[in-house]
Amino acid sequence: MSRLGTLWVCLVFGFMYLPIAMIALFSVNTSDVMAFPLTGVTGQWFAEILGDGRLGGGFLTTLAVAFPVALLTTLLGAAAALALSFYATRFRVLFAALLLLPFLVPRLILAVAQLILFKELGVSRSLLTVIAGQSVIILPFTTVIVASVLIRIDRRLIEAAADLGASGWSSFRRVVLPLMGNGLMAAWVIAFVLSSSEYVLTAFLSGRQQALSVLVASDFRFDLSPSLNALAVLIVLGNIALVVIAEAIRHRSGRLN
Amino acid sequence: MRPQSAGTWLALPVVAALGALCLAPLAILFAYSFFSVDFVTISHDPSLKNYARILQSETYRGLIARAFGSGLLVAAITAVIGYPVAWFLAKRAGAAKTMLLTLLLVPLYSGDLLRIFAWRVLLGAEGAINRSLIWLGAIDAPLQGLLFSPLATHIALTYNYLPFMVIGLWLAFESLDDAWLEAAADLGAPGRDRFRRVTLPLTAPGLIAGGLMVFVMVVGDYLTPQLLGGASGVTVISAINDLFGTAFDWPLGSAIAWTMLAILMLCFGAGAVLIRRSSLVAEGA
Amino acid sequence: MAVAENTAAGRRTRPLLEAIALYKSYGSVQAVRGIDLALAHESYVTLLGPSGCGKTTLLRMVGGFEAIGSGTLMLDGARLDDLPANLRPINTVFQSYALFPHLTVLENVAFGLSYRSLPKDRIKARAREALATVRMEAMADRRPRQLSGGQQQRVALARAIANEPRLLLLDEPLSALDRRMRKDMQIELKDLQRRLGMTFLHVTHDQEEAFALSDRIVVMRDGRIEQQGAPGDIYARPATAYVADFIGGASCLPGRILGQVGKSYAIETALGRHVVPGVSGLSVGARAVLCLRSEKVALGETGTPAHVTHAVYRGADWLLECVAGGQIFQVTHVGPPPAPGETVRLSFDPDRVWIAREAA
Repeated sequence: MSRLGTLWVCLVFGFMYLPIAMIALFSVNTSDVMAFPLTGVTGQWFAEILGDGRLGGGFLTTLAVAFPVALLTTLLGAAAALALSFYATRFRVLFAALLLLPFLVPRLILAVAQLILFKELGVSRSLLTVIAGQSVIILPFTTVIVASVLIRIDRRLIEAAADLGASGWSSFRRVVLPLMGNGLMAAWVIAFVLSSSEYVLTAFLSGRQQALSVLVASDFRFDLSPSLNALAVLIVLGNIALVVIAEAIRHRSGRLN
Repeated sequence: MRPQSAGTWLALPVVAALGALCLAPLAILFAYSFFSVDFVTISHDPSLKNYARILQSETYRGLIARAFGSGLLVAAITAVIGYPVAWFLAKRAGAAKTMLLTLLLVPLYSGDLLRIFAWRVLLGAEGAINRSLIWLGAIDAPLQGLLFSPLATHIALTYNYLPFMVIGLWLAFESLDDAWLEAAADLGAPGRDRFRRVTLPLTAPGLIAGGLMVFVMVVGDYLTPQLLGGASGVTVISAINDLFGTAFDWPLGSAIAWTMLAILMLCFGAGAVLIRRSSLVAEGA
Repeated sequence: MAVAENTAAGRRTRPLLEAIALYKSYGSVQAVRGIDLALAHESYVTLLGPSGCGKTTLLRMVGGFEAIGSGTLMLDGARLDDLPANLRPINTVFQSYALFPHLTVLENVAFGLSYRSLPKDRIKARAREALATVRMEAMADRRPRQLSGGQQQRVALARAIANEPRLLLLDEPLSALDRRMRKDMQIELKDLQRRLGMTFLHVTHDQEEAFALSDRIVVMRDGRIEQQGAPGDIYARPATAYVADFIGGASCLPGRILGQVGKSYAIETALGRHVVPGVSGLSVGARAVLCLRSEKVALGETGTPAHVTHAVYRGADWLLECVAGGQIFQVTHVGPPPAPGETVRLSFDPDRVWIAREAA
């Protein structure tokens, strides 16, 4: 049974990584046709991508959005997770449903709804609208990440702090916050990754400055060049690196608890 | 400050943010669905014109039905594929568990367009799959129907959302006590019965939750069908996209959006009731 | 029900269960090292030992939840070890009860009956009978999570006996109950076993429990059987120092055998030379231990001088800890105890104490 299971899991993971592996292969293939057989190894596509000035601007815009989004969603996610886990508010279930809502509404529908809102308010599209829009859909993720760390915190630690004379805020600051720290860092990284790869909302709510995901969208659709493979590899590697860091941080926090 | 009130104070900014950027927009969207468009301006006289149009249009009805059909299909496929994976992760993976879970989620972080792009490469006539099959001698000419077809769309949809189903199922398997399976064997149940009478009912909540998640996300995914489905890639969501773009009819788009939302909410309600009932039944001793 | 069938079986002389040279390892850890065991029909046998001694592993091998490493298991003369768990005519009461949370109490009890080709109404009736045996009929339509620990335990019992197994396995079934409930359940278990005429194999680490329930106790240590026999025999005549201390507690003095006198031995210890009954097979010059149970040592006018270090009140008596010649002795004393630090004299009746082996 276990061997069948192992085989199945290998197949599934193979399926999951097949597209990524393909892209990686073709990103170093000399031919500009993405087909087998492979003709040779080259770094030209990476060079082409890294030298593309247009993409440089897009990259900076992506950063200009991702940093604020990550910060904002981490703070709000932590607040939400705390409200849910520790301080059981009376409307807990309702609150949880509200937190899930952005995840459950189809992204495009939320995008157009926000577009209408901004139009009615007279707010023109810009980086700020992108940041606002992205924050809402990333919030459920950061909340879940921080909540998962909070759940592991032993309540008795807080009771012990109270027993030793700590007030509410003090016991939070000296007991909960340090233990939560790693969860916050992990949430930040995940939020950053999700923000940098987000397309739908970004496309809808962007003003003149366009993030990387929007810039290359038309390229992905119509102008399939191997340099896009290189770009894809860079993005995936970057994301993997960030996620590995996030998991390492969360592991550290798991061991502390 | 007492914990109770601290909780409320903490929740306040979050509620405000969600209210302003999620509830309010959806409310305005709802309002808009009753407006109508008059060349390039939007008239604010309320009417049910848009909804009537949707109900009467065979096209729209068909698109909506197709969206939910795809949702169900992909939910079913991911359930079948993901079920053994979740079992393995919970029961057999041991120390490798967290690493495997993380690895499972990595493809998610690469972004929508990238994933679609990858499948374009794989499924095309000159793509890897066709080339490999020809090289293996399995076929003589490249299969044309791999790309720009419903097949391509559904393969990519399964790929996109399988991790979510696995996570939902994995959580259910984690709370499945092995002692229950041993007890079933002890009492005479052969393997198949142990699955049918113990494992399946007790993982049902996970199936429903995972299925709901996948269902919603498939229904809302317009990029994948649009870029991989070719002629079949028109979806109700992409119709909304057009109505807010080139086809300029925001009220109609809003009405379609809210129709979808309403049906989705019904599905959630049904799913939530199902989960509650099966969890009540499956709650640990 | 099952009584008539088992009484007839009881007249057979072949044991119900035989384990021959059983071994089991997990990687480099040997959990079971050469077990030979035979269970008689209609007997209540306890596997007793500390955690890690292999008793649970042994039980699980009999139940079919662990494959045996090597050796043979036979039930009624037929090989058991090639049968999967669900085909063995053996049922188990699990330590965590393992009641199915998604089924009612009645459905739980009836679960195994669906594999015995009975008509549906007969299944329900039999399940209710089993529940009645443990006095839980009123809870038939409740769910496990609505029951208390003791109630769940009884439902688990009913679920197992409903299938009329040839052998009932109990894996520390009472460990989750409080002391009072444990005592009550022990009486119920013993009573049930006698009434049903079934054979019970019960795993526990609680020596008192083993004494209360067993016809025979199997004392295990480090994967091996140290000693097996009736509770009285084991208590009065422990085979090794370990058994003497584990069962009932004893101060074991190391000593040397000087000679044999009938069924007794002359032994030399720090307390002098005495002639004391002991296990058979000890040779002259061999090392052995003199086992002194606390109630066999008395304070008196004569005897070895010792001084008292602790006195623990136990309600009916005091347990004194005394030191003599670098050795610690435990003495049961009725009446006001001497104060710590006082010097007393310890004596014992050589006929009432016992010589055991140092090790198995």
